Order: sequence, then structure tokens, then C-alpha cells
Amino acid sequence: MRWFVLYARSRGVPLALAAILLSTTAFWALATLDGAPDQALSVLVLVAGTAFAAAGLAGQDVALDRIAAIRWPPRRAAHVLAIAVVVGSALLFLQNWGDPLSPAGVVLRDTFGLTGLTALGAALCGGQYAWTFPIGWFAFSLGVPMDTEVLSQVAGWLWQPPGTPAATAAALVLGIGGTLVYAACGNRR
Amino acid sequence: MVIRTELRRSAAPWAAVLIVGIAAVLLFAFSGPWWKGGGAWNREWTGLARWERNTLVLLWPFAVGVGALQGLRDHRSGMAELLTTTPRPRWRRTAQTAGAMAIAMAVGYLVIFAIGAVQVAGNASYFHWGWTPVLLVGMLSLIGAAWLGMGIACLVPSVLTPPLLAVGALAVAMVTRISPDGGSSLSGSVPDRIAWLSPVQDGPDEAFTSVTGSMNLAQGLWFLAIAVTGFLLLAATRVATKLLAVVPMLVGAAVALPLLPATAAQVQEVDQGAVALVCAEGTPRVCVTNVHKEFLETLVQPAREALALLAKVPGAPTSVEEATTGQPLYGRRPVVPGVVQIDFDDFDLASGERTTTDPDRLRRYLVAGVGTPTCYGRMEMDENYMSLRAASAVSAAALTGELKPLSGSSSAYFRNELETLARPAWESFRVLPAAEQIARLSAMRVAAETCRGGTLEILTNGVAR
Repeated sequence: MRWFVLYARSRGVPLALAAILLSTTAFWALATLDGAPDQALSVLVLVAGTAFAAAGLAGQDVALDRIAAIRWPPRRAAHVLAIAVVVGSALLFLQNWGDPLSPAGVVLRDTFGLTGLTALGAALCGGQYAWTFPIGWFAFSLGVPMDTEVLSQVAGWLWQPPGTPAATAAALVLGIGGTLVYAACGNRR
Repeated sequence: MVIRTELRRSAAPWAAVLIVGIAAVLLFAFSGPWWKGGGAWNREWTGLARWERNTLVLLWPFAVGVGALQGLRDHRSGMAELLTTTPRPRWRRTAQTAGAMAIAMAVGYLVIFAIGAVQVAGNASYFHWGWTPVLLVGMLSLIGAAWLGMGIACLVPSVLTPPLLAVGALAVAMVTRISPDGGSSLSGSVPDRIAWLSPVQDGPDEAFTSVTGSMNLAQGLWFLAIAVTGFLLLAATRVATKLLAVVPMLVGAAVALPLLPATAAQVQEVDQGAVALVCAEGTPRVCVTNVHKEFLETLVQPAREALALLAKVPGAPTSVEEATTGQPLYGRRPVVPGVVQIDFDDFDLASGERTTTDPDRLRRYLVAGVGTPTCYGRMEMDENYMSLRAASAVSAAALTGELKPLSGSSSAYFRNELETLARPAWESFRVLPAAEQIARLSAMRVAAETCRGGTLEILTNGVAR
């Protein structure tokens, strides 16, 4: 328990958690303001959550982390999965009131894919810049046409209806791949 | 010179490159939301400046985020305390970084404009300077966004600041984006005036309008105020100055809000220089707007032939003029008595991107419906829509002697319209005596002009239902 508390504090978890909960509530309120849920906001809420959690994927110092005689890979993977659980369940919990912003299947798929993408960002660019990955893909996919081409379904996987095989596959590849890469390599300095 | 080092070593060069990249992807790779008509970003100067403002939906949050990352640099390097030991005032040092960032933003935004300008210069025949405020306001909004990001990141040097600011800016930009047709998507719950503090604007459908001066002035002042606040936050060393930094932004909002137009219609105004008519020499009168004057030469010959064909029908129009408003989404534009209005963006003339130059199609378009405009807006369609189009096709056939589709589109939908409705009507109409044909065309013209309906029945039976 003591290890867990110290780890959470060193990774800035309390602040990030507060930001995730506040932003999820704010977006949920904003999206349901006009009655008809806005699809863009229902995806942005998950993007925001993972982006705020991104900084915690890097510690104070990579070299310092390395000298600790503990097995990092399972802990890193657990951290990534914990982000997905918190971000996804925050929205799923709020959706019990009012109209759901998006189906549970979409929330699960998007959260998992976005978290993996963020972890990949941390592994490639460091925790400082990892947040640009989910936001960047989101911004890019705003312009992807909504058609049945496999390529646009992969590029716009965030927006596809639940059960779209290409989108689910893209989310799984990003989610599993990002988690594995980050678990194996850790964050970049 | 420190600023030269900043231009090379800070986030500024990357920011400029990414701004150009993001906007180029938006403008080149994606087909929407822009209309491919006369107001397209690569066709006219105003259209270019206004559609570039649309790319701010991504560029503006990007500028805020990049600014925030840049603003964290001192904190990250852990030398803030060391720098306070130098006698040089803080604002002198931060001005170099802020200046480099402003240059990057301005250059990025201008490069996109230049990419568009090369295309516009080849397409547009109407040059004017009316687009400059729209461009400058957009550029100023980017600089203001970057400086505000830098200032806030200096004030709250947390690793969470850049993502928080970027997500917040993205959400604001997305929900407040202004469309000239109907305000922002928040119009139901937030007054349009407040939404118009956002720099993101949808561009025009047509080439006849520009943004009003009060809109540009108010937005310009507002973004200037944001930039000042951002810089003060960045340069401040004392708590009191940091608190006072909010004042310019508040003053800017207080000045801008009353200046901003109250309704969506007041955001844009008719560009008188663009809609001024340019007429061909000789009679009958054939005119196009100044902004499309390069098209006059192509139009004159088919237009005069069409007027000669129309002259057979009593009451038919005797001149051709380009319509000076875009086709509305709902309803029709006002009918001008005695004039056939031509709309170069009409989907019968421009089914792809460019207006047809085929004289046969231009002539057919002008005589269709005996010179009357359609009764339907771009978003409208009801059970009479197809019969009106069929009646237009039959009347064009009656005058040109040949039944052909009105639209250049080869879609099954339009072939079907021609075969199932227009073809039988044309077969029964063509065998009538000439005098009866003219009488029915004349009656049909009156019905189409007043949108009474029953136009196809008038042609086939002589009376409306």
C-alpha cells in the first residue's frame, strides 16, 4: 500500500485524477446542454481524459526509475490499464443520468485504443509530449470521411458505430501494441 | 541576437511547419465542409481568406498547446531562479521568445495563404484588398493564442497545463465555430455574440459577400487584448502584475461584445465591388457580376441564342443577368421581372467543381422553365420537385427541339427523372399545333414564376390539375 501511495504521488496521479473527473463532468454537462448529445464531444471527453493521464506515464527521472530493483514491465502495463479503467468508467458512470453520449461498446473501444496510443506516445516522445498523440489523432480524424472504406474506418476508428470490425481492430492494435511497447521500453527521457 | 537563436532552437520553427502541414491537410485532403462553388478557398480572394479562418478550428488549439509547451521551458530546465539573478528585466528576455513564437505563427498562417493565393491568382479575375482584415484577424488570433498559452504555462507551470489548455481550446473552437447560415452550434443556449469571440468561421458558399467591418474590428481588438494579456502573464514578475494581466482581456471583451453583430445575418455583407454587373456590348443585355467577368465571353453567345428562343413565348424574359446572391438553403431568391438569372454554382451547371463552358448546356439552362428560376432552396425537395424539373426539361426541349437532361450529372437519379416523367410529357407535347405549344409554355411560365405548382400538367393537359 505504501509503495502504491508513493508511486501515485510521484506520478502526479491526484491532480490528473481530479482533472479527468472534472473534465468528464464538464464535457458531459456541455454535451447534454442542448438535449441532443454532440458526437464530437462524446469522443473528445475520452481524448481529454487520456491526455490528462499521459503525464503520469513518466516519472521524475528515467535513470532513477531504472536503479530500483523492481520489475517495471507489469507495473507499467498496470498503470496504462488503470488509466483506461478510470477514464472509461468515469464516463460510463455519468451516463447513468440523462441520455448516454455514446454506447458502452464505443466507450470501451475508444478508451482502450486511446490509452494505448497515449502509452505509445510516452514511449516514443516522453510523458511530457504523450498527450499530443490522442489529441492529434482525434483532430486528424475530424476530417476523415464517414464511409465504408476500410481505410477511413481505420483512420476514423474513434467515430465508428459499435461493432465495426475495422475500428475494433484498430483500437485493439493501438491498445495492445501501445501497452506492450510502453511496458517493455518505458517512457522516453 | 537572442531572437535568432529562439527562432532556431525554440518550439517556433516546428510550430510554423506544423501549422502549414495541418492546414494543408485540411484544405487539400478533405472535401468538406467547404462548398466547391464560387466561394471555394482556391477560387476567390475573399473565399481564401475566409476558408483559411475555418482551419483555425485545429490551428487555434494547436497554437495554444504549442505556446503552453514553450512556456513550460524555463520551468522544465530548472534555471528560473538563476535567471532572476541577472540585472536584465524579465520582459526583455521573454519578449525574445514571444517574438519568435509570433513570427512563427504569422509565417505559418501567411504561407497557407500564399499557397492558396497562387491558385487564386490563376483563377480569379476580380482583385481587391477587402480580404486583408479577415487574414490579419486570423493571424492575430493565432499569435494571441500562442502568447496566452505561454503566459498561462508560466503562471501555472504544471505538466498538465498544455493538455488542459489544448483540450479546452479545441472544445471551445469546435462548439463556437461560426457558420454564416446559422450562427454557431451553441446558438440555442449561448448568445451568438459570445460565440463570435471565437476566431473560427465557416467560409462563404458564393463569392459575393465579405465579412462586415464591425465583426473584423471587434474580433481584432479581442485577439489583440488576448495577446496583451498573454504577454503580461509571461513577463510579469510580481503577483500584482500577474493579477492585473487579466485586465486587457476583460477590457477587450467589454469593447468587443457591443461591437459584434447581434444576428448571424449581420456577420457578412454584400461585397458591392464583387456584385457590380459587367455587361456585354450590344443587345440583348447579357451581364455577369464583376467577380465572374472572365465568364462573360463564354456566356454571351449561348445567352443571346437562348433569348432569341425565349422571344417566341409571350411574357418571357428579354435579358440575362447573373444572380448576385447564392441559392438559399430554403426558399428561392427574388425573381427579377424580364430577366433570366444565371447561377454559375447551380448544380445543373456545375455538377463537379467548375461551371460548364458547353454552350449547349448553358443555353438549355437559360431556357429551362421558360427562364424562370427554381422554386426550391438547396436543402428543399418535396413531391412536386421532380415534376417541376421534368416540366423545365420539357420546356427546354420545346424551345431547343431536343429532350436532354438538364443536369450534367450522369447519375441514375437524373436519368430516371428524364425517362419516367419528362419523356412521356415531351412525346405528347411535341405533336401539338405550334400555337397551342406557345400558349401552354406561356401558361407554364406564369405558374413556374409564381411557384403555383402543376407546371407539368399545364404542358401535358393545358390546365393545372
